[in-house]
Amino acid sequence: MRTAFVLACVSGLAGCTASAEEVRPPTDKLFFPTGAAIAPNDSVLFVANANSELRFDSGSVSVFDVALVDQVANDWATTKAAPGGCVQDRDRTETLICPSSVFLSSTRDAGARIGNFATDISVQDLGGGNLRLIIPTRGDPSIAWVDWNGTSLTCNTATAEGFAICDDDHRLSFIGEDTATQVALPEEPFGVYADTKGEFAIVSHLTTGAVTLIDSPKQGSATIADVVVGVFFPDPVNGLRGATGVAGNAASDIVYVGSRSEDRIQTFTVGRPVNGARPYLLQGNYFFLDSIGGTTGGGNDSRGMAFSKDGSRLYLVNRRPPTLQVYDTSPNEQGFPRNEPIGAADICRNASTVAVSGTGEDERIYVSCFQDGTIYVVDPRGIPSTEDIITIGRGPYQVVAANSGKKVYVTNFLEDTLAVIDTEPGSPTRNRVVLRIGIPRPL
Amino acid sequence: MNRISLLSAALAVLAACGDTTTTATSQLNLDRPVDVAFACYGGMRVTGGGEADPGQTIVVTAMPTTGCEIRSAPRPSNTPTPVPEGQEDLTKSGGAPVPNAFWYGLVLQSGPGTVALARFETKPATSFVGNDVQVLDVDPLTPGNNSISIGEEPVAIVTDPTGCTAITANAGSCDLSVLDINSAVGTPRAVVNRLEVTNAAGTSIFAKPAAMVAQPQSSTIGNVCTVDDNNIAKPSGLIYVAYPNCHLVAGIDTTTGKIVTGIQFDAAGVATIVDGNVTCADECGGEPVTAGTRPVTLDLELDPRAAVASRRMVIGAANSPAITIVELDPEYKPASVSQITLEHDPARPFGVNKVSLSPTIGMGGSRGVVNDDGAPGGQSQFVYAIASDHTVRVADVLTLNQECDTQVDPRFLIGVRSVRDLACIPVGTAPPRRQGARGPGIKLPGDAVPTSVDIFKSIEIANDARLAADPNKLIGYFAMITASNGFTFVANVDDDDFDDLFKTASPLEVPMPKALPHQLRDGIGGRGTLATFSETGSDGRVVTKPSCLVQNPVADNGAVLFGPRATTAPARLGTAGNIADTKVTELPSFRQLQCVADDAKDGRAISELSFSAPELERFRVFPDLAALVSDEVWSVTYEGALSVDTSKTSVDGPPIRESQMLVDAAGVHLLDKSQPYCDAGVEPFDVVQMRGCDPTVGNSQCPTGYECFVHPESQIGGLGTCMLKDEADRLAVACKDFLTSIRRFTVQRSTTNELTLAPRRHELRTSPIDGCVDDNQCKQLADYARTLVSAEHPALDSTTMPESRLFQCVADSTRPPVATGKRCELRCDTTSDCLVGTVCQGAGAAGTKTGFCMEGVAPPQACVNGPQRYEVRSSYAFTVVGSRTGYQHSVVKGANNACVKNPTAHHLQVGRIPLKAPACDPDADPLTGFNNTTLTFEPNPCSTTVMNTDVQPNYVAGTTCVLDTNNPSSLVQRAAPGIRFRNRGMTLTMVDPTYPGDSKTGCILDRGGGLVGVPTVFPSYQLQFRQNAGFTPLVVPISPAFPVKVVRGPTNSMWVIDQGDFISTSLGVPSTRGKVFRVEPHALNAVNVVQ
Repeated sequence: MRTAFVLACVSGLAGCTASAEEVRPPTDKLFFPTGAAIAPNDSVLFVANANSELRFDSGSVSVFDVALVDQVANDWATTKAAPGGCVQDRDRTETLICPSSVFLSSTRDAGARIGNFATDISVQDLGGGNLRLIIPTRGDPSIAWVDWNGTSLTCNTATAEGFAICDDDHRLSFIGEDTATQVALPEEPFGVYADTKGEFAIVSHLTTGAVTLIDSPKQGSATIADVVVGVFFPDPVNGLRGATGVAGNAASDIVYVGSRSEDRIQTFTVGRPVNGARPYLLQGNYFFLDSIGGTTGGGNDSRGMAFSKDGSRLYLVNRRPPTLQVYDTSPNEQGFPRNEPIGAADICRNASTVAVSGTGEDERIYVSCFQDGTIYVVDPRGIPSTEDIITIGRGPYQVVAANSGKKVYVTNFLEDTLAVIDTEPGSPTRNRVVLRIGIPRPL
Repeated sequence: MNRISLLSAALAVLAACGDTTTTATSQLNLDRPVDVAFACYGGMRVTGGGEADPGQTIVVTAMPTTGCEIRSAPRPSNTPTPVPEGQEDLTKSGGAPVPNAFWYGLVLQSGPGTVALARFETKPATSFVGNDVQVLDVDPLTPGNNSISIGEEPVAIVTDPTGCTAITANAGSCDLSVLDINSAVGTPRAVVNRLEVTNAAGTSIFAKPAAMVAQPQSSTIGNVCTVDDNNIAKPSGLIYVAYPNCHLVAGIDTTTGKIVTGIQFDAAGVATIVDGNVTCADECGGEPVTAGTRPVTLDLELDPRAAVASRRMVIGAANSPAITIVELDPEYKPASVSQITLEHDPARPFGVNKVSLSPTIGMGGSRGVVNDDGAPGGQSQFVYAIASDHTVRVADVLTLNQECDTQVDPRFLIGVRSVRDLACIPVGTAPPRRQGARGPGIKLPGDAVPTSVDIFKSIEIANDARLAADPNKLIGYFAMITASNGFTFVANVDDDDFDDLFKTASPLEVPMPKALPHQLRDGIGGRGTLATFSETGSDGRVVTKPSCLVQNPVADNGAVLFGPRATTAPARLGTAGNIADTKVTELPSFRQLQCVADDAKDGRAISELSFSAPELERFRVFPDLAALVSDEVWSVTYEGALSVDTSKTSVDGPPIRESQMLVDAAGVHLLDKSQPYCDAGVEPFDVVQMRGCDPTVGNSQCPTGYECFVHPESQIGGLGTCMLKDEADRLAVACKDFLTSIRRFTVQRSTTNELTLAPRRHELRTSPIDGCVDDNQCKQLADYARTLVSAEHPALDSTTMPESRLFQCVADSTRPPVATGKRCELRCDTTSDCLVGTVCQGAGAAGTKTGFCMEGVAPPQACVNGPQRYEVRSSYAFTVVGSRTGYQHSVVKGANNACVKNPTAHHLQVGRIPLKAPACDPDADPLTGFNNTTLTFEPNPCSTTVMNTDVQPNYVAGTTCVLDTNNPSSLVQRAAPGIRFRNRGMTLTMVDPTYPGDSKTGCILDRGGGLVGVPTVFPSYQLQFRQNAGFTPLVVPISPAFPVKVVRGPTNSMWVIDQGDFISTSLGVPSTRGKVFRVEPHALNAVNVVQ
């Protein structure tokens, strides 16, 4: 009898636990969206759901058909036409609010499930319409790599099922193949830059200051190739280290990495041994950020970084002082990047990420302000200045600019939405949120 | 994942997306301030501008700022406050008292679109000491200090001529706002009206403004404000608003909002005067704009003096090199327009971001009073413009109408005797510029990016006890320049408290960078002070006498005083093990002088860099104060590293680089995708010293999967190499020669991303600089080389054995050509014939000694698949490297990415001192090196002969090198061979690049060896000195986080607007959103902080 009673209790407990289906992340909703990235041809937008409440058994990557998103946004902006289920924002009449299912129902099986607490996404172009996403996830910690074949994401070789969870081979957690000598990936992978030409990705680590190199050959699997630790000095006040923003210059083979603990940008290149061994990171020149905020303790706590399309400018978000800093990275007469400061614009406190939209006279810089719920739009021409402040939603994090220069997409972490900003020069709704995807989560 | 890790991750992600920084409670009074204007409000007798009458009405009202300016005029203490004409106290005549008036600062905040009010008293500037300016709360019913809502994204604020309204230009709504100052100051509810801008046809103009100026305020006090039917003040007068995307500066009648005139820019940037018939894209309505010249900055200046009455406006455009000057008529409408094109590189974008127009200035004068009339340099008016090359450009807009060159090498100006000629040295006619100048504009120190500039007048104050030429004593006209790094610099426009011309008789007394206009102001006084000491005479009087012992004068508080110098005699470093201590003075060094003074009556040998050096020598060594950084360590290192970055500095690259090595049939290659080699200044025959990895730090210098492998037979300490863990042992044999050598290579060819290297043979240290003639000479010199490490006198040295190794005189194509074509190099049969760290290669039959001892060998590729750490060093030369200046060179990227010397490089852009140089030009100017006949510069560096002071040991007569303990040494003057080296800030003379050797039967330093052209120097030998008291720019003692604008305020005060947030890391210091600093030019430390 005692045994039977125990069994009954056990089965009762099991009954109280959610089933696998119940904790499976939704395919048509955003949940704590963080990282996002757009395909080079602007065809699809990938959004990482961090699952920060751990309501589900994993995070995920949602896939948006950009043409559909833009079509809805443009129709709304020009004719006020809207798909069923969408409503006009009562406070901001230029904005249409649509449930995310309007856009994700057609791509529900195109997504993939990844670890929890994804932070960023970077896209590597594999050619032929194929892409690879490199996604740092802090929960494991691991770095997921997910391939896009033009219709769906795959990161599990054992199943053809859509929206599958990434297998271990696609969740890079250890360095080295030999299990006996493997070393765990440093904690808190944070920012990522994927280099299509170089077939690698570089990941920063927020709390250790380490920098990880991912070897990502077009025809093969991604693997962790190298980890450099101790790149940055610890913060003299709190002793913390941290590597944050990472960006590659399309005009050169140089990758720039920033820090939250030191006012310095460290550059890297990637060496590939001729014997076919794993590539490794090579540390190059560095420069300090003391040209801005030098009288108030130096310009440290760097965050997002992005280059202009031609690689001649580096835009860098700094939290202390809160500025968008602009650096001339064009080659000098010796053929080396100048890396000279040319100006800065005061921005919000605690800004996070940055994206560059447009080129030439139309180039504008979009900075996410997590705390303020705004996007700062900076005109980088002349003395950089804030041109607009867009109320975007709660907890904006990742800013992604379409390569067309016509739209900017922002993940709103705290309200489970994706905001679409019209950035087309000359548009009556330029720098306004024309579409909000997802019903904002109640406070 | 367990519960703890889940929680950690959740917290971590929140931290990532939100705020990871702990910040103190914020004071939010000012949020992104961008501009400030000033108003005067208080009691006024309504005279209508006429004479006062006791019966006239007294009102409390806004009025022109003249009403407050007069009340704030300097005056002796205990004297009545001066008042404007008509506002006298008539109470004794039965009139009502006129209440006092107060100043109001209207601080425009772009973030919230508000105007904050700050109040301060009408009192002389000398009465401002801090806490004089208070932010007001315009809405006491709402918590906090509230401001007045004014418009969307306002960018500029001005007051109208009556002083009754303030007008803002709003970029967010493409219109203007008008603030009734009476309502803002005198009532609890400020009234703001929108003013739509229209063209002549009445069509609305919705263009985004970028800048605005207004016609000056009236000087008449006594008129009440003109009001509308609702008793709201109406604006009056003309304002000019810059609309960048309309390529227009519109003159707007503020009574109507109508554009009545303007300056229109065509596609080529040419400016023309237009009427009000203009059109602009509706930017706020989203209409597309057209490309074209973008005016973004304005300034307007009235000179009311009858003799020079003028009204001018200047316009700068963000994408045009032209400064536009607009002559205004008495109604402030454009009468004519002209342009000055600033020097620029057509291949790069260029524009002007901020302009400031000076008053008309009487240039020159040094009597401590502002003398605008009758000044020796005549009248000038300047535009200061912040250009996109991060310099502050200067142009004379009164007479020359040309850009002024502020970067002329002052060595060429000491002969100019006309203040007029120095007031503006036109670009294009000027002598050579300083090396490193970034065009003709004023360059801020370091990486500081100028953000704003304004020009102010600072008048003399009564009973000023400060010494003449005190850097903080500002009398004359000055520019205040804010910079992105938070510093606020002061530039001399016309310093009326300092000499205007060089003094030949006392060349240090008037450094040209302090005498010239348009120079950053130096923050150290007494530059002409000579080395002295004080002595109390027998009569009790203190006498000041010349000194030979003063080296580094500092104030009691440690502040650096006086002129530039080396703080100590240059140190010889790296000598241990390379030369005996007793012989280090046989090595090259900097010239020494003989100094005799009362504190060194027997004389003393001092460095030419010493503070105690004669005045003329100090001037010769440090001829351009402004070209010297305030404090840096100079290292002059034989075959030294080209790059000197440290963990705290980034000047010219890391000294140890990390790249890949490729070995093929063409040789050994270092490959670096970041393309650093031309930038580093690598030249052919330079030395690459491989650094491998340091095994003492484990494998931390190697990639994942690699180990720091040290070959078991290596005798080189601390030199491993990164090899795959599973390959190291296997490759140990194949890589032995490479791994056991010191791994030194010669650069054969350099491109931006590749160094082609040749293995380097070991050369005899004393191989003649012109090459050897035969093996016997090499044998003798090898024996001599061995004696260098012996501390014994040659006559007594019985322990130093002859060199047993074989040095032969052979050709070596991997080293620079020499006259004889041959060098003394070490031959071998096996590695045992070689020195430690060299390996024998190319040997033939035993005993033939046909091999060479190699410092580095071409390794099998398998040995160098890992990353390679290395250092690039100069060859056969000293590298001259400043810790803040870095290594200066003229290498640029040439055809096919090859690193080549720029044939048009500045003659001072040099960073190497070879042991042999072309002869100096005896006809060249000794200060500049310029030959006025041939119109060429002498070579730099160049060979010469100079008198040098040696400390010669004295030996007891009749003995063999027994030192005379009673008189151990004497000072001896000797004509010494020397190499003269000039860089942008120093002229140095290195003496004794080679040493003749000592007599074999003589004593150390007897110079009787008879050797010619034989060096004793060795790699890494270093002469090091700390140069301080270089140019130390005067900075205003304020600490804004991100200053964006400086504005000329009442009573010549300067207002610095700090837009940036200050995020405190201390609980005792609050963080702030923004601040405004009021600075008194007459006393820079009298600062009011508005926050």
